[in-house]
Amino acid sequence: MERRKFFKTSTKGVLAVSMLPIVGELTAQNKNTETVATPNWNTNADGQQFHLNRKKVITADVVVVGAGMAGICAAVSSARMGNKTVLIQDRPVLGGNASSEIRVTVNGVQSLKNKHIVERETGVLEEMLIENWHFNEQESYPVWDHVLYDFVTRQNNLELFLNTQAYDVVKDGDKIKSVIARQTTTEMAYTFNADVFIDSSGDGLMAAMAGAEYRIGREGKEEFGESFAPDVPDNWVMGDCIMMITKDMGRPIKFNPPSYAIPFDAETAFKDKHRKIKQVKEGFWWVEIGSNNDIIGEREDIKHKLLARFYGVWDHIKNSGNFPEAENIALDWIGSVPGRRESRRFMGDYILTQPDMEEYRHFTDTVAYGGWSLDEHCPGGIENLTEPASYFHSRFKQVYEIPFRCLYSKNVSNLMLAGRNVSVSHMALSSSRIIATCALMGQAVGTASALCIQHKVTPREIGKKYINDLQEQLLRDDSYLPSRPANDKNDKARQASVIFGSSTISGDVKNLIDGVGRDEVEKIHHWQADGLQAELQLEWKKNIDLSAVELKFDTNLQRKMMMHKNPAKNKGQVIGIPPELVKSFKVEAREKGSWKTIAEVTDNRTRLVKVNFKTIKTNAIRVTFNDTYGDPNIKLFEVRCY
Amino acid sequence: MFIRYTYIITVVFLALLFTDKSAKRHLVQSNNEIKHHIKVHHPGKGQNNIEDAVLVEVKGKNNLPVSYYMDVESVICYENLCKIVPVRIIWNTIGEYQKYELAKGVALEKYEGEPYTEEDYSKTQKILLDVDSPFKSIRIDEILTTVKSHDIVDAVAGETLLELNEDDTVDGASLTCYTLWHWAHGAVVEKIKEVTASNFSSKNYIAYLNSDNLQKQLFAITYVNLQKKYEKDVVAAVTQNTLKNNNLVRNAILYAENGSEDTYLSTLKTFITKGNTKLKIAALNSLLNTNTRLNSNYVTDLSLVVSKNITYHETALFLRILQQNKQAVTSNLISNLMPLLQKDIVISRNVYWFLKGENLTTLQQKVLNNFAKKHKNQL
Repeated sequence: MERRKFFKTSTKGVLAVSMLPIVGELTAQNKNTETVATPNWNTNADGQQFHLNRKKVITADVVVVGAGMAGICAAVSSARMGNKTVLIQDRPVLGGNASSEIRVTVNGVQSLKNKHIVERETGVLEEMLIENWHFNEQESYPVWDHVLYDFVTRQNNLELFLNTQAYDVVKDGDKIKSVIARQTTTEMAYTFNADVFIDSSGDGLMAAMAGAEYRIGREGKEEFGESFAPDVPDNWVMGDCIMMITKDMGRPIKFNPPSYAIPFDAETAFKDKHRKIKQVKEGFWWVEIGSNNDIIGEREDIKHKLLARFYGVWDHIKNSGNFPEAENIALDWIGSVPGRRESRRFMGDYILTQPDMEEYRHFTDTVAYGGWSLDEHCPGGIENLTEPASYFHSRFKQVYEIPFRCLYSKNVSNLMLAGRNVSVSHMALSSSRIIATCALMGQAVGTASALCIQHKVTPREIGKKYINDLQEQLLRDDSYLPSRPANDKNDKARQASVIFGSSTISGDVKNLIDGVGRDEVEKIHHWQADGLQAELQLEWKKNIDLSAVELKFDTNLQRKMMMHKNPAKNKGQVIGIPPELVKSFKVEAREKGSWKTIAEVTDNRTRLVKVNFKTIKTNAIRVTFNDTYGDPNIKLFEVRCY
Repeated sequence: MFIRYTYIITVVFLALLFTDKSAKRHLVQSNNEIKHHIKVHHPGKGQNNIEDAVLVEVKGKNNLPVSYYMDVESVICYENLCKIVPVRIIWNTIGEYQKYELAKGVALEKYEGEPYTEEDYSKTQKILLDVDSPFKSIRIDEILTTVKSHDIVDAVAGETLLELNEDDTVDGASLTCYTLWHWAHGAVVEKIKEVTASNFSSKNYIAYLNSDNLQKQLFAITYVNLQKKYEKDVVAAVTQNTLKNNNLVRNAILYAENGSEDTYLSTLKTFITKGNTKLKIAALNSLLNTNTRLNSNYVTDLSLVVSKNITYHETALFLRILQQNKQAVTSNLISNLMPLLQKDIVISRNVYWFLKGENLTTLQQKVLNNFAKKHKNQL
């Protein structure tokens, strides 16, 4: 029955149905009765202006603008700390550069010149990457969008607004009072009030509208002593890229370029060692266009030019006769939203620079780390074939530190930043812009926002008075801070009289309380039992109150975990949940001499597991690990008790 | 210019003259050799690749193997860009890499045809001797990226450029190092062990167990276990050497667990009575997880050990074993446990909780009550 018809005959229809023999649930019929609204003829239109009555005011503790990987990590961390948090994203999907709209790989620290090579990021980001293998073994980008959607929307204290553009702010002195936004799908005008604001949107329109100081362009060599910087400052930024994915049709497929395609000068392009056609499965990063004028204002033009250039390259691949391997290959997807490397960099109390990274400077307020190479792309991109596609300057021997002072605005007192828009020099950004590094910054500011609310202070004051608390919370939540082991005085595992494991095949059970939640180069921080069915026991001389046992398991941080557009890039990775990860375990507490099970965890999918329970009085905890996702031995990095 | 040499594996019997690069001596093919036609996998040749090879067993005077060798290609070559030469890899009786040799007049080459220097030959030997070399975990495609293209790491494409430390590779010959390392430490090692084991009698195993050479001892325990050799002198050799060396504990416990009930129980009792903490804990864990029921005499004997010098971990395990073998608890055993109430609280309260459920004498009950009173805040 058509909907209109049903409304017209609704009363009779219900009566008629009621006379039929009842099959199934009767209540379902009653619930179907709908309220019929009066039509909206808009007869009050005055012919002058439309008066839209769609306005909402939302008041939260923290507002995060931009839901790329940094923004998601910020919002989830904030919400988990108990903040009422709002996450605003101007696109229909989550993930930003990593979303199905753009499809940039979630790269991180993965090419260090040390034994580890990979120093994978943990915390909130890792949770999402593991979930993706659980739900999306097929590496589908649209499914990945919804893995992120599930992850965000199920988080308590977090409200998500998609398709919502935050375009203005209301200020109160040097503070942001509200963000003004419009949700395009619902026409709703939102005013979001909060105490703390986080801009993780990349371009940073909200922060810019708030009057936060920023830079666009490149610093000269002299300012920060950056050897790879240009001699004098200029306005160039690294360019935008457009991605594609192909499929093999199993038969020759022709390609006809669109009318606006720009012919590709292959001869000049291929003189540069970086510009190569090494595969025909995904995009070419060197199909890139930057700007020395206004990278944000020119975005639509840049997108058009990128498409024109890309189709020119693809025309060359398909029709030059030089790439027989592409004969059966057809374009299956090409992005319409360019991925962006660089635009505004908002200034904090500190600007991270090339020497900071190269000298691995230690900061007392370190809250994140990075390690992607100094990978500065050619300013002109594909429009400047005479220069190399990237000035690939230097790889790191170890991870570098990112201080908290880079993650808040120097002149808007309740504004924090995460991602590529933080306080770094252009040269430092050539490394710190990598998505997984940005996500670590997100977790740091999201966590910091809770301390701002708790202590009613600005981010700057957190850096000055509460940085130890912030670092301890980050470490507890599975961030890694180089040269900053955890030393949480509230952690009762550290006060245990005895800690022992059922067996040891590698490491030492005492490493579980040494404050470092991962192995470092030449420094072991794990305990590995011999086989499955391992036990870990902690014992205190006196009875203590306990309401949480927290464990950090192994997910192999020296192995990459992200999904790829090109399956060939999965080499060396595990397609699925890490086999090292503990899958199920049981926590017991001893009360008056008897062991009682207080929690059983099955199908665990996270490296950090916080087992919370009603406060008990006990003097011993025993954790029995049953199995992993494949590895023959149980391996842990940390145990905490609260 | 690159030259590709064709190499045929049957040269094993052609009495080629090989040069030991480190010792500068010549080795002539001996008649006292047995060739084993085997199938081996090399990770550089693809995941499922298995190929035929000839492993040569060199026999000594008593007709036992003294070493093994195999002639392999120096490098897995892609796109015919490298020179391949035959290399002889030599192992000892338990598959430990010893050295490599080249035929006279044959030389290894680096990328772009540069010849190996004397230093490169020595470094290769050092790399091949390292069982934990980075080549163990590196994939061949990572090396190929380094050698051939020097491509950059890319923020979008996400490729990895491998860069090994200077000490870990011969610059320009990473592919050769990778190829040879995986021959030296690959699947053939297990094959060598199998061949040696097939030649060995209990007497030979006992000699290895008493050799003070850890790898030989581990080899011996593994194979006496597999071959179920439980003669008294073999068991004694395993037991005595395990008491001296914690690195043997895991294999020794497995060996005991696979033996008869008598062998198992007596070996474990020796471990608990005479072993150090690590051995005691491993043995107690084994008893905790065994299906074998323990009798009164056995646990009472153990309780004598426990009541002396023991850690909390050992006490906790022993008390759990008793919980599982309640039928074996006797008044003698309880008497042996009573002194533990004087130990540190983490030990004594566990003993208290255990004894609380047992039939005690009036005096013992009084001691227990006093304990409860004294430590009421810690129970």
